[in-house]
Amino acid sequence: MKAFVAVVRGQFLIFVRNRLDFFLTMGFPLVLVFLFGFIWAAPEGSVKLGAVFNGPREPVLQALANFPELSVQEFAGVNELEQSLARHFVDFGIVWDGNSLVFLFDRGRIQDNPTFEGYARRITRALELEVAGATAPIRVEKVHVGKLSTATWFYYIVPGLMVLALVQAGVFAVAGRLAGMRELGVLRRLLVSPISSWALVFGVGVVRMTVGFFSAGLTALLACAVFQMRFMVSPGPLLFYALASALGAMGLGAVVSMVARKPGSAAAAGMILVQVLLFLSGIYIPLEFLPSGLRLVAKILPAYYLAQGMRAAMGVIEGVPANFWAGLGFSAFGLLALLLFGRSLISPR
Amino acid sequence: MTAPFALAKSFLLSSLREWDELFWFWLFPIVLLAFLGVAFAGVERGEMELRVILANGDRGPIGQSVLEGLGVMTKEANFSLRVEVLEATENVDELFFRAKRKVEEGEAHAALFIPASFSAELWEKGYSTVQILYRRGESGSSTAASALLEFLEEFGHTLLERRGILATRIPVERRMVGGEARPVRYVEFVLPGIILMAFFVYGLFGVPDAVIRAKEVGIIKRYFATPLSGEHYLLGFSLSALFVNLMQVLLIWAFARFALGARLSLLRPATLGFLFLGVATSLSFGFLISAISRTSQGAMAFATLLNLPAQFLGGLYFPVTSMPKALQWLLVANPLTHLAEGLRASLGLSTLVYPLWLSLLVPLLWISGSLILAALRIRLGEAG
Repeated sequence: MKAFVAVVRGQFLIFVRNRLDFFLTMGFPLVLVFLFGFIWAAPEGSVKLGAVFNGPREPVLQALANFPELSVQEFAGVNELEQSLARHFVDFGIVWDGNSLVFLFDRGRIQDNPTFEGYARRITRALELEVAGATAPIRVEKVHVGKLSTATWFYYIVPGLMVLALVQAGVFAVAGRLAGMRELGVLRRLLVSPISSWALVFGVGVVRMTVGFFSAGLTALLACAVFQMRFMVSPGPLLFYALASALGAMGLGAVVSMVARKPGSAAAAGMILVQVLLFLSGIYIPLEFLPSGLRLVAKILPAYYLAQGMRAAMGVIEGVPANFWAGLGFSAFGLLALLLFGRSLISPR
Repeated sequence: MTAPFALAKSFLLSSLREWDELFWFWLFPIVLLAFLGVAFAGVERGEMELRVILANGDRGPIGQSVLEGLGVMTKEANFSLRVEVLEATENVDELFFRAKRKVEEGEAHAALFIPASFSAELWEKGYSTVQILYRRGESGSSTAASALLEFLEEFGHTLLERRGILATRIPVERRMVGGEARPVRYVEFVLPGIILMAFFVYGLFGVPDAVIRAKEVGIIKRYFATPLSGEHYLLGFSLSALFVNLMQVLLIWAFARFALGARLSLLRPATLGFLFLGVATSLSFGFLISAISRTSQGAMAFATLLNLPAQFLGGLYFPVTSMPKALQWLLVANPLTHLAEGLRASLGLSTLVYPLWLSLLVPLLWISGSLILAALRIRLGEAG
């Protein structure tokens, strides 16, 4: 036990003295939360529509009144509108000559244009009703059934970032820290001392996991403090998914270290693995956007379920059994990998 | 004059032997491009798979027509909309809650609930209300809800046409402005961003890592025991960086062209100009960080702090000009914003958002400022 405490103390001091590590734990969540928060935390803002009226403007303005999220700016001519559109002063444009409509879109706004085109179709239908003096026969009430009343995409990202922090800490605890100690010859020196190999593994693991937990917690706290986010946290599931992420990731790190044993290669392979997991986790890009093949791969990998589980634990979505089983399976894998490869990992060779 | 070339060769070879550098500088940009290209190409091809639930509590004919119409629309939609029809029961409330539960639990992206009185109300009052259940904030769910909303509007239009209320449709033309008159694919849009990302990551991490580590382990001291000067050293390093950046561009472009089908020619004077400006900006940032950091750890921390915000607030992966006003001054001050805009405009993908002089001035100011500061601070001969 003394040896374990000594390893923990030593690893903690190394962490505090390592400026990069310290920064990545303290500063990185801050950077990510601010960055993504400013981009995605605000409710959808208004869409700027540039309009040129060469015909009676009243019916168009009446039709546009159905879309309170659109802010309309009038232009004297089409050229002026086109220039403003190309320079992003407005999001899309409408030209009405009394009989026909022309919608203008900026070629460079690849991701936004489908939304603007949807607006264009809806504006056209609203105008057709207005011109005919009719009202829509089917009225639609959109009902939000998610768990949080004011959800934005940022609410989905924050639990994902927490999982990312834990997975990164877990993988690099083994593939980075232990492999690094082996490469520097530190392991050899430690193992000739009376420290048991397991005290060493768990000592390193405990410190790195504390770092991961701290980083994940800081992410959530900053999101709440800066962007006034309010999560409905369930402590039990939160702890379960945090532990599952950490333990499973340490197992992944162990497998990586076994496969890539050359100096430097374990950390690089760990990085590749974390990036692949990140891409296919649905944290940044929803899985619906991925082609069917990649979607299938993503649903086999644990990161998606961990992110979903963490979202459920933070009260963003409803929890489903698949997340729990995936979390349990990932933990079991991590434990098994550590048991199988642990001894060989701390072999000084 | 051969010394800088010999140094450049040695820098290049040692970079190629480092796993970390191989991954981050050579492989990662291609992996990122592949991922973004494949992911968004799927959306462009309509491979976005959305699941919707239809809960029809209406026993009348119009509810049934909605069901059939939705089936037709899913075949015509720009994405795969999988419709699951919930079996109707006598208890309409129970039907609603089943649909709601499926959306809540993520089994479906959205649900359309048609109340029992739908046909009757439509017949008597001329209008009726339906509900779309969705999860706000989640993009798949919002997209599915928008698709259902559009379908219902179109369905209502068809009803009015059949009744003779809506006699004519307004002719609509759709026109693209900005850039060259040709369709732009997402992979083409993101390609300049990936190239700049590769430059920037190399400049921020590769340059300080090489320079400061060489100081830390005393390699530089040994260099200067030879007839090499500091200028030789920096020139050699810049040459190797130029070669790495050139290879990055070639690899990324070749991957985009042959694996993802992007059709962009980089051999345009303006494009080459902005690419060179990008290389110079990333190198000067690298030299600045090397000059102001005492240890490689400090340099990496500083580079990490700068890296992600600069990339995300530089419009490398998505347009940023619609960001909150509070961030707009950061966008204007960020050289990556202007480099990305300039590259895209020079490739005919869009029109310059900012005036050309500003797009050139901001990167040039950063380059000159960084180099002057670096020249004043850098101490190559000192141990780290």
